[in-house]
Order: sequence, then C-alpha cells, then structure tokens
Amino acid sequence: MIRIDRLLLVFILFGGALNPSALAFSFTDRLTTSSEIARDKSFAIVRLGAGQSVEDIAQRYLGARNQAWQIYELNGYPTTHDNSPPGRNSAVATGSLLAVPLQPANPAGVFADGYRAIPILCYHQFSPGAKARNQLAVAAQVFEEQLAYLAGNGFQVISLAELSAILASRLPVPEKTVVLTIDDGYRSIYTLAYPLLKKYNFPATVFLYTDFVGGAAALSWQQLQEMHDSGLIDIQSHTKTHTSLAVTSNDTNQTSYHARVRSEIEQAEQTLERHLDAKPRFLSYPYGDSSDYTVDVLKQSGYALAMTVERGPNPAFADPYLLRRTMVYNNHDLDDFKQFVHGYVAKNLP
Amino acid sequence: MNHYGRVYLLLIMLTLLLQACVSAPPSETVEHYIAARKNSAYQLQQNNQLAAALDQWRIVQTLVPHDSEATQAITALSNQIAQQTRRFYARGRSHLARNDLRSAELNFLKVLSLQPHHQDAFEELQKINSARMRAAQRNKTASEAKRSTPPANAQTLGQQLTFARAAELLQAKNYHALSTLMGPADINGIEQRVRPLVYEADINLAAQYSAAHNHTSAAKHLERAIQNTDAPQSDGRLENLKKQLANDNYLYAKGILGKDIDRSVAALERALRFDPEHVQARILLTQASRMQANLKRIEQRGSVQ
Repeated sequence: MIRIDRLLLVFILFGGALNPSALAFSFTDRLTTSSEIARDKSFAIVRLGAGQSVEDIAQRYLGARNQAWQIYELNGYPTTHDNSPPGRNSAVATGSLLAVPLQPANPAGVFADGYRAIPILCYHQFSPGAKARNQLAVAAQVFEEQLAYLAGNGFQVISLAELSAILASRLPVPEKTVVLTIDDGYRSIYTLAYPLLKKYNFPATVFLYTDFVGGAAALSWQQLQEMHDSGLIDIQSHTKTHTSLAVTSNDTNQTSYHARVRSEIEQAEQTLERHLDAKPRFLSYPYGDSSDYTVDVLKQSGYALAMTVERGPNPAFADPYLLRRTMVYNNHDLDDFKQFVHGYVAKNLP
Repeated sequence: MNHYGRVYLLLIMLTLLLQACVSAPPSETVEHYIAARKNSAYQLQQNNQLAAALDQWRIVQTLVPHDSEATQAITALSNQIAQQTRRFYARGRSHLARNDLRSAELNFLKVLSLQPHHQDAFEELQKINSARMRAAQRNKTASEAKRSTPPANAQTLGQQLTFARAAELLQAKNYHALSTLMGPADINGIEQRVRPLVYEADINLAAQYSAAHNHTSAAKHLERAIQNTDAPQSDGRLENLKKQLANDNYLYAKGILGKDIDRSVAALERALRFDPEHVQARILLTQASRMQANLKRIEQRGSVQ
C-alpha cells in the first residue's frame, strides 16, 4: 500500500511537471505579470501575463505603449496601435512568448521590397457641412471621413515631436503613420477641426503666423491657449507675417534679406513664447519657400524640423529642415486622400 | 501530523493543482516558440528578407545560445549579407561619383535593406535626399522668378500645361497630347504639381515607344523621366524601363554595327546611360569606338591622298 506521506513527497518533487502551464521554466509562474525568460543585448524574451497586453510590455521595455508595433512586427503578429479598434490585440494570447527588440530591428524601415515613409498632411481652413466654399477649406464632414478612414484602417497619427525622434534615429519608422498639420491659424481650426481631433484623439500641429491672431477669421490667443493646454494640439511657427523666406524681388541686397528672414523667425518665436510659454521647435515655410540661409538660421535657433509644400511622404533619411508635405484641398475625395496617406515606397531592392 | 491530517493536506494540494491546470491558460512552450521563429526565418530568407531572417535566428539564439542550427544559419547569413552589402555600397559610391543620384540611392537602399544599422549608407541617403530637396527649392524660386519675366518659347509651351489640363489628359491616357503641350520646356521649370503627371506620361510613352522598337523616342521620354526631380518615388517601373531600354539599345546597336557605326555607337552610349553595368554594351562600345576611330583614320588618309 502506498503511504500518503510518500505520495506527498512525490507530489512536491514532481508535481510541477503535471501542470502544463509550468512546462516552460517555472512551476510558480502563474502568469499574473509578464516574466522575462531570456535576454541578450538585442532581445528580451518575455511571457505575456494574464490581464497584460503587448502595450504594457512596450511601456516597460520600450518606454511607450505606442511602440508595441515593434513587438507585434518582430513576432509576426498583425500590427495594432493604441488608436486601433478595441480587441485587435487579442491575437496575442496570455502565456505567449514574445521577443522584445532592445534596439530597433530596422530603424529606417527599409525592406527588400521598398521603404516606409511618413506623409505629413497640410490643411488650412475648415467649413461647416458637407461642401466647402473655397479651395483651401475642407468641409468638416469630409475631414471627419478622413479621420475615420485613418482610425478604421490601422493608421497611427503621430505628433511632430515623434517624427522628430524618428528622423533623429531615436525611434524606428512605424508602418501606416501620418502627421496632421494645419497652416495659418484660421478660427475654423478651433470651431470645426479641434472637436473632431479630440473625438479621434489624434494629435495635430497648428502652424501659426502670429500677425494673423485676433483677425476677423483668425484664432484668438485664448482659443490657442486652450488647444495648447489640451496636449493634443501643438502650436508652432509659420513666421510673423507669412512672407516668403526665399529671396524675393523685394530683397534689394543680401544684408536686408538676411535681416528680414531673422526678423520673421525671431519675432514669431518671441510672440509664441510670450503667449503660450513655449519656444517653437518646428516651422512651416510660408508658401513652402525656403533657402540655404533660412535653413542655417533655423538650425542656429534650435529648430528641429521645418516643412515645405513639396508633395510626398518622408522617409527616415529625409532632410528634417526640408520635409515634404501634402496639401489637402476641398476638391480631393477619399480616394485622393487614401493615396496621400499611403506611405510605403515600393522599390525592388534585393 | 496524523493520517487524516496528511490526507487533508494532500487533498488541498491536489485541489490547488487542479485549479492551476484549469485557471491558467496553456502557455506557449519554448520549443513551440523556437520552431515558429525558425519557420519564420526560413520563410523570410526565401522572400529575400535577409535582415529580418537574421533577427529571427538571433531570437532563437537568445533563448538557446548553443542551438547549432541557429549558429550555422547566423554565420551563413551574416557572410552573405556582408558580401552583398560591400558590393552595393561600392556601387552606390561609384554612382554618386558620377552624379547619378537615382542609381546611387537605389544601391544605398539595398545596403540598408540588408544591414538596417549601416550608418554610412543611411548618411549617404540623407545627403541625396537633402540635395534633391534643395534643388527642388532652388528650381521653385527660379521658376517663380522666371514667371515675373516674359517667358521664352520653350517655357511658354510648358506653361500651357496647367494642372487641370494635365490631369485630364492623363486620365484619358492621352500621353502624346500631354507631352506635346509640355514641349521642350525644362521639366524642373514647370509648375510643381504638374511634374509628377508629366513623369507618368513619360514613363508610359517610353514603354509604348520601346514596344514599337522606336529606341530614340523611347530614350527621349525615359531621359526626361530620369531628369524629373519631382517624380514620385518610382514603383520599379523606371528601373525596369532603364534595364529594358539599355538592352533594346544594345541589341539595336549590335544589329546595325556593320551598317552604321555612328548610330551604333550612339545607341551603345544610350544603353550605358540607362544601365552603366550592362557588360555586353560596354564591351561592344569599346570595340565599336575602336572601329569608328580606325574608320576615321582611313577616311582621313583617303582624303589626304
């Protein structure tokens, strides 16, 4: 007859083997938190704990939830984002093993069939209803359709600060990523676009030319402050008076041209700092016009990014001071928009 | 502890064990995960995604540092990647020295697709991109300055091509009409947003002329597409056309070598402009140039006598 105390001993010694969930490494691993089971300089291998998401692991290892795409991608799962429809990350079951890249596997996003590039969209005005009145204005209904398309199709809308980190090789290029910018500072940004951006939780940058503020169709400083405080809308420089920063026929000599460029940039900067208590780091060139001198001034003044209106998306190796942007006008339909936000540049590279 | 106490303790432990089996979801085993990574590595390798395949093998090695299959695969892949990287990087530098930015860019991209952390290739791509954007900015300023002065004939032709008209013609696939309106105007001097449309027309016309064996016209449109600095990043059509037209011109040059040596040399030079690595064209051009020089010498002697 088998003695019970022997049974107890057998159970204590070998009991772990009876538990299928403990087969991996630890009998006591009840999967309540992720456990790291291996690591070297490139990867950590972790087990997804109960009630834990890949985003939690991204927060712990990569410093931000929206970097979870790196883990999905490396482990062959479809990529999802924080603003993706809920439930999409259920593809990764509790107890799954996941490799976490401790340094980006492919920082520039160049693959055998092409490379990733980030479109920056540029809006100006918005008008109520379904049909805009002028070419620069996009109807609120159309704008919402565009945002809904981004939200419903797995696009990640990032801020210019994140784009700056990507271009400085501090973050890798995610797929299906878009930046939203709005030039000039029309009041319709506050009345029509801002509520929609809040609804979809999409960050955007307003490039403001400071002389415009307070005008009949323009934003007020109070509205700008409110949007700035929301953390969703970034207010940046579009110069003081919206004159071209390239050499124009009015620039009689180099000295006066240099003085004009400096004044446009510095005065806008001072005004923005005075009203919003934040020094601008990004600038959009009025009419998209730049010059070598303007770029030098921006670099010396500590600006990180500046954008033109040359169409097309920006790869990781884009010039941060001459970024491409794609204008969205009222005559663009959703099919045009889909093309604008398509960031993958196909190339036959093997 | 008495007998009942031991039975009681055993029952509690069995209950706990059962609870663990039922409540904890089945965990993925390390063996299963490794098999999945290996499978993924082989698939990526088959699709020529060598860098991604190497990552999958390295994940296996993170878990099992002495996995012989992973060690062998990593050594073989690393060697293959290093060899190809050296070749593409050297080609990129060589194209850069000849100021052929498109080909240089393509080769540096190949380097990055193989070695995503190749800093030199990344920096070269940054420089190319920056140069292209600065050129576009200068052209924009120059074309705006030109607009304030009476346009030359060629410019007038280009200016007739408004965005709306170009889009309409492109939609109707009327590439010839679009090209006629463009005329001999400088591609980088016309309105910014019209340039990608002219590029599309040129690509299509080059393909059509190539199919009709009209090498000169095909080359004319292909060359303008190459010059078009505002062209959308190509989908491989441009590169394919360059290869195809290089070969067409080579075959054409070979066919007429015995009849018209000057035209043959011109066609071979075109072939090499489109594909500087077309070895047969290069060899034939050397031979043809020598023949051409000899013929000239003979002609000169004849005229002296």
